[in-house]
Amino acid sequence: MTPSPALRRLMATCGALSVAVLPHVPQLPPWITATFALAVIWRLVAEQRAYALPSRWLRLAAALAALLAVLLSFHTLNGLAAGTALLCLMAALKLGETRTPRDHAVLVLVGYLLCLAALLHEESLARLCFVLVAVWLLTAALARAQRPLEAASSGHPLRLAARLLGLGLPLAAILFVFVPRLEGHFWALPSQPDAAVTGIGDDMTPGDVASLARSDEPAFRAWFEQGAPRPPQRYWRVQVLEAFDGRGWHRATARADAVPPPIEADGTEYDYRVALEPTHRPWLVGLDTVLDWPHALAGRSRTGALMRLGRGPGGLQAIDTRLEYTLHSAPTARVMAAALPADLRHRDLELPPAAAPATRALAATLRAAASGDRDYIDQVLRRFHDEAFEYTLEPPRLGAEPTDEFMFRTRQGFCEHYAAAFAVLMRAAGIPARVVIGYQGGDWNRYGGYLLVRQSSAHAWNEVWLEDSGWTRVDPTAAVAPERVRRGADGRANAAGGVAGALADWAWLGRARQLWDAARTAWYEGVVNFSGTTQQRLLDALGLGEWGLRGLAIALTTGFLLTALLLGAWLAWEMRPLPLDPLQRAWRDVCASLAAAGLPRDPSEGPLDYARRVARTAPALAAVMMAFTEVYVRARYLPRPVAADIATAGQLARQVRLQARRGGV
Amino acid sequence: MSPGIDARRTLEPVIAALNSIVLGKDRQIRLAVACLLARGHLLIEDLPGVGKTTLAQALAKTLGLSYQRVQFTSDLLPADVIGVSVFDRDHARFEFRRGPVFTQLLLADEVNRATPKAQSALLEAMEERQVTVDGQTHPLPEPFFVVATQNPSYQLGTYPLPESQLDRFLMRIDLGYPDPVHERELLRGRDRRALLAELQPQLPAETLRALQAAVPQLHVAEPLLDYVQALVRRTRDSGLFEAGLSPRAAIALLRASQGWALCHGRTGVLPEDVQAVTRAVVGHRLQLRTAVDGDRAADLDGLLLQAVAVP
Repeated sequence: MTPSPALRRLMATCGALSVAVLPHVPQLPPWITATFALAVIWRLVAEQRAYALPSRWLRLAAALAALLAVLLSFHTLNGLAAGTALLCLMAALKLGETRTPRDHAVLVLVGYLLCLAALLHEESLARLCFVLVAVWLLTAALARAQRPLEAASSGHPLRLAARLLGLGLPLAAILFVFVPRLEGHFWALPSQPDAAVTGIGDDMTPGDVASLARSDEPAFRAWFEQGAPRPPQRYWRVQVLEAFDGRGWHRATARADAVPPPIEADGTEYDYRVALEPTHRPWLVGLDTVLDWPHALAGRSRTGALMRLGRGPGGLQAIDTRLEYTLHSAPTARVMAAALPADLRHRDLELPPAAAPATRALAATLRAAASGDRDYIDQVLRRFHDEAFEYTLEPPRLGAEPTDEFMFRTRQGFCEHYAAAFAVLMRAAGIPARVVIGYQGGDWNRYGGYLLVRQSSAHAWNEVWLEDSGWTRVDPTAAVAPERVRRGADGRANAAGGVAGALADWAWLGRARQLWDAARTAWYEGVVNFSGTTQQRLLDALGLGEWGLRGLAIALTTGFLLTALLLGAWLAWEMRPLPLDPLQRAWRDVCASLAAAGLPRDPSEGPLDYARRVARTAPALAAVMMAFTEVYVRARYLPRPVAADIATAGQLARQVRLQARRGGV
Repeated sequence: MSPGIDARRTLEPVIAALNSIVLGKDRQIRLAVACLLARGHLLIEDLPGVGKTTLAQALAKTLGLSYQRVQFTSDLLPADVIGVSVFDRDHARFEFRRGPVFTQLLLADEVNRATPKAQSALLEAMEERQVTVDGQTHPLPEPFFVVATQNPSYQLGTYPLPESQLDRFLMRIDLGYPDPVHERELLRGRDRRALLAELQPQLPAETLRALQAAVPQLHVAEPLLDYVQALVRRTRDSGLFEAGLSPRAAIALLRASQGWALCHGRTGVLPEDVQAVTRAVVGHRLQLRTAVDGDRAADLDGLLLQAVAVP
């Protein structure tokens, strides 16, 4: 059985509305999603089985209950989350009284609002594409709802909606580019403090990790002014871990240092811009070694970690939205200090007394045989390389003495295991050492001209203090799995095996991924981050720079007013009422004067009925009104109208007006 | 209309006679007469005992029409209505014995109790105004007017007329209980049967035919057509009804309005005439969407007439 036109119309609206609700489902409390889904299913069944819709009182009670439920569950009706929840619920309830085209239009408008809210939640390109589809479906549903049910389909609503959206696109583009941008937020949206944290943490406890979850999510992107550094130089510092408790490594300090360590730069230097995805932590990413940074935005700790300054705890501010900043780095720069201060030296040599006895014994043996610090480091790295150490993302769990177990028993691990063990070996031999966590590598996106670093490129390496070169980077993982450093994420993907690894070999897929990421980045660069400054730059390029925001606003307003006026005038001309003949004018005058006297004609009332009612209510007017109506009806509805009747009707109409004004009522 | 006939004066005695039999139902009586003048058939839907049959009989009597009554039952056969071919031994040929349908006014009582087959035999005759049996066509008498009654409450064992068949009836009216004054008069008065028997024809056959011919000729002004079209459009666009009125229904509405206007002695149709017959003409042709509120559903006037402006 084919669904009736009414059911099809309802299905179109419900479907489009559901698509608009979909992006909110992860944030919505499950009961709201369930309520909405039930309402949709119920309404469709009710339409097909011809059930009666709920009564007005039931609907009112349901609306109040929904309001109360949202209030109880969010403790407010304000804000994005509660507002979205309320919208979804109200859409569900509105379905219970949806019959006329107007009801459908209301539902579609709710759907548009939900789309807007979806973009407030997330501004990604994927989200935009989804919302565009939702808006398209909603518009089609609106078009379908507004035309008569049995109308022979004059074009598919989807096609019509696509054409409408297409026609609206140039207008949207003009508005987007030319409406003056005000710096700052129009509405301050509260950030989501409980959002999941991905990427680099503050601690590192390799023994507790049985399997490293690899995420292909982008961590950040970097645009270089003069070409990107070679892959082995792509060490991105985030945080430094100095405190070791026998199991895990922890951050020692989170304080911007007043006195930065002296840095001696040689070799190539890079100017670049970083666009960092939200991390919900205050740490910035920088290519080792950062020489200069925006001082208003960030500070640098003693250990070389960049942190965002702000009003959060400890004078720092978590990065909850995409952050852009420019840095100046030199991969070959060295941090020079005449000597490590005694207290820091003590900290970077500290090992818990009972920790890792076997590793310490090994360190003592190796150190005794080595000719110096550098020779000792080489020997340790060679040991990692020569002996049966294995690089794997799925290492066995480690027990109470993780360092010893890793060094002598399991010998399987990823960068964190090697960095941790290496630091213990260094400290045991009296060489100050620490663990640096950050990212290593990055994929060059040739379409967008930037370096993309994914969360899966997260890495841990070491720095050791040597008298002649200061803090020196050593990457023990490179000794075990050189391809990890040489090839970056791909190498790891292959090491991980599985579907992702196999897919990465397909060149076209790689290109498609690059293209998608470039489009995503262009979206952020061109649209999401389109600000007053970018707008000014664009206007300058168009030669409209000197107009200024005020001039632009005036020009836009004038333009739109003019267009609206022209359109209005054209429409008014198109829809001008047909000229009234004298008879119609007389009838209109009579109705108007009687309406002014408190006896308005109901639009559905025929002339005779009206005349009788007037005669009943206002006997003083009865005679003249009856006389007029007789003439009017004869001239208008009966055969062979006479010219005299029309003239008489005009005279009688004047009499009706006079008597009505004289207070005949 | 034909010159020399003042329809209102001509019909006054008819209406008066009918009113003397069926008390307090002036409106329904006038609708029935208008329906007959417009050459439409009438469906009366009401409870037993409110005077459906009496009205039909009174109509036949006052208009001087031949009258037949068929009680529709579940075992009624088409031949019981339209007639049957019988072999005539003397002349050695088939002879058509005319059924009760060959009359001027046929009362089809409880039409929804017969099987669809018997129903459709009647309804075909109504539409075609002729009967075809064994390849031979027998025209029905003129005028031919069917008054069908059906009982709305006992649906058990009935075959409700499908929408396409309902369309064959120009009007559907209900009679309803009489008001207290008229009921008292009814209780005091003589037996209706006796009164019916005394009833004299009030209208010569040729006058009736002339009146019927005058109905489609009655003047219809452009603004009135606008109004009829606006009403029809409302049934199609508002979404309140399962399906809008068909063009045939629109014609029916216009014809009935003309019949009503003629009854009232007008030479042209007024919006009021359309409004007077709308409920009877479109009530059985429209089905309200079930989604429409129960309290509004009964009020066709509110949904249709009051929602359309008179031009």
